[in-house]
Amino acid sequence: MSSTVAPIPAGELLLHVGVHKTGTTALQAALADARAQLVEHGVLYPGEGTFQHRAILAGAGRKYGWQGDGAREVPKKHWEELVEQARHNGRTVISSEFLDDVDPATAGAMIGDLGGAQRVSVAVTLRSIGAILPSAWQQRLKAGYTAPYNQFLKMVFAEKRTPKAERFWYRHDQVAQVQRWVDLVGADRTYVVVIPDGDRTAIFSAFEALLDLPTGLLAARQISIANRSMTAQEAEFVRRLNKEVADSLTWDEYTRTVRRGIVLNMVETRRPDPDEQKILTPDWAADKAQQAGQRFADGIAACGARVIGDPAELARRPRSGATQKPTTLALDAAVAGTAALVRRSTWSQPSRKQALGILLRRPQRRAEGGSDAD
Amino acid sequence: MESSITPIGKGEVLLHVGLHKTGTTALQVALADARGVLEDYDVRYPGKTLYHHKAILAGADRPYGWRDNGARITPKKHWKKMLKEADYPGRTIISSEFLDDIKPEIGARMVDDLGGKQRVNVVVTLRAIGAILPSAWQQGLKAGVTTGYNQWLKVMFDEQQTTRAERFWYRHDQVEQVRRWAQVVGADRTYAVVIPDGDRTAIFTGFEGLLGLPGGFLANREQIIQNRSMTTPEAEFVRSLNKELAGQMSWDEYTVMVRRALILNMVEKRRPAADEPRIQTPEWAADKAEEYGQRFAKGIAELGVQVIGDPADLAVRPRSGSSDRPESLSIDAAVAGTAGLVLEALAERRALEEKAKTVAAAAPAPTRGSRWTARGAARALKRGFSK
Repeated sequence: MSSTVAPIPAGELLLHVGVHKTGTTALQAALADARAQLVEHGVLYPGEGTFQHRAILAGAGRKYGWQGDGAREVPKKHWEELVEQARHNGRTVISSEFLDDVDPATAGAMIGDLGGAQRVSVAVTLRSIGAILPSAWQQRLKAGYTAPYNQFLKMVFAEKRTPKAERFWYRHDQVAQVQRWVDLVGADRTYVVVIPDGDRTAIFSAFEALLDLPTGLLAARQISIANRSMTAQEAEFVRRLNKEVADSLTWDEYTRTVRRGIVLNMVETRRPDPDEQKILTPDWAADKAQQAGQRFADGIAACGARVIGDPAELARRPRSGATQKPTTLALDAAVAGTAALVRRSTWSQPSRKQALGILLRRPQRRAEGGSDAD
Repeated sequence: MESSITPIGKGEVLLHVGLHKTGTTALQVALADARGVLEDYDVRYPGKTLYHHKAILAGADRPYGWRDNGARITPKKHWKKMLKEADYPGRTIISSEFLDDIKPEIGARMVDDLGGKQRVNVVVTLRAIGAILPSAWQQGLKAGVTTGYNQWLKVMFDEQQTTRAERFWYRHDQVEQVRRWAQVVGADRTYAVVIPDGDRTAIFTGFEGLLGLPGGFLANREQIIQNRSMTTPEAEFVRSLNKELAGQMSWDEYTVMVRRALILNMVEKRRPAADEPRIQTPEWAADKAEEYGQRFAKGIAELGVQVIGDPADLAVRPRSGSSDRPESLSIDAAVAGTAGLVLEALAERRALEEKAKTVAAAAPAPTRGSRWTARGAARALKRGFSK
């Protein structure tokens, strides 16, 4: 498949804009891990860390965290540094799914900073919306969300869209998303990478081809980032825990304890039984997802952007069925989460230095629910 | 049940020595709650806190905590203070189950400190050993034990007693326990209160009688202390967590995080469904428990001490049956425990935050606009934190 894709020209820049929940983290981890080797092939992945989110948030003037509480503006200099580094005469790749909900004017300005439509190509990675739904819900859970999956789906598919639903579809209406980028850099500079469900290498092959890298260079670097999905019972545990504590925590406190302390450790250190119930999308929503997916598949095929992979994959129906809310949690899951938090808390004796951090940050209580991460 | 029990003499001391897991906390909480009015009846419950554990640990020179990590000796002054308060013309009641495993010579010394055997009466509260077993195992879990119930029972009933089993039976061989005290203060000054399984008022009635208090005086003060038993899945959760954390924390850390923040919240904040499995003693161990119970019932009756209640209740067979090791935990339980943990994990940080804010408010103007400057904040904190 990769051989049929022509690389972007040397001296140009590939801007990977997500979308969220399409395997972006795996790609970014591989790019970061291969950074030195990339240089040998004339490819620059700017910066030193795994992600470029900070620079992108800075460039977009976007905040990160709970709205109304603890959301922080990122200093502009992070973007300026990235722009500086991206002046590279080989190929440059920048990747952040936080680009998937910036408004066109902001995106246009950022592209302008990076050398404009004559230098920048955009890659949009897409998975079927049916696969996105449970992932997006889970991602929200990791940010304090308390609505059950069914309620989330009702919000997403309601005729009358709430602002939250608007935000969701701004990101995940795949046709509109791709069209926004086509309008900015042109259809011939817009790549749509369709990732079949369960295919862990498609994203690597596509970027290897677009960056003219030897086949397998990125795929071989696939770090086992255990960013696996939560099972139904794990998700329910996190949801209920959010209900119990999220209101009384600031974003920082939530991140430190629940997100990193409990959820991340539960997901990373535990390997659920293969027969443990996965999250199922109820049939009514699976129907809707399939419908939307069909519309996206058709629209993507018709929009003139360069498509890598088969748009028909976007119309896949998600794993569906009726589910009962789980009432029990596997013991190893409970232990993995709590043990990690106990350990974390016992080694972090607060110091004067931390107090300093607290003073300078001036934390506030959380005003109301809602997160902008998904 | 207006009392057929003759109260101890005026000016005397009633020393309640436990045992562990016989409802001592409920009694102590009621006594503490009644403290203000007790003296109207010429009864004193010394101190200001719920329990007398601190004073007793001090008096017995008994360390508390994990033997190899974090065990501490309590300063003697706590005992001395107690002695002063116990010098009272009415009846004094001292209660701590930490007396149930001290050596006889230490027990005798403490009795002497309190005025000797002409002044001190000892009361031992007893429940059927079959009821003690699951409670004792659970109590162990709350202190970091990683052994499963069946394994633990094997250790306790093994012919070859390990140190741990010896410690257990030193406390829970009820005949030996009561005999030790009878030898210190005499059989006529030793009371065995038998608490039938599931009877929540027997302990109150017993003490109301011994202290000359009106019937119901203590029982009516029973607080809802949700010191309920853990269910099988809860217990297995704690055990697995103990295993996961074994050797990685100090006693203090364990107490704060696991015991108080996690376990206590899980047990207190949640009411398990009626069908959630309760801990069952396997048949072989229930047989043993019944056998031991019969021996204890008989032995207690023969010791010549003053028995309140029916010794036959000590021979009751525990709820028995085979149980599979649970693999999952009710999400309620996981949430209650984890939420407690989360808030505890943040407590110190929040306290620091408060302190930082106080310091900030007290320090004059190291700010620019409404925000702290880094240097200003650092200076303010240095001052605040060196105080």
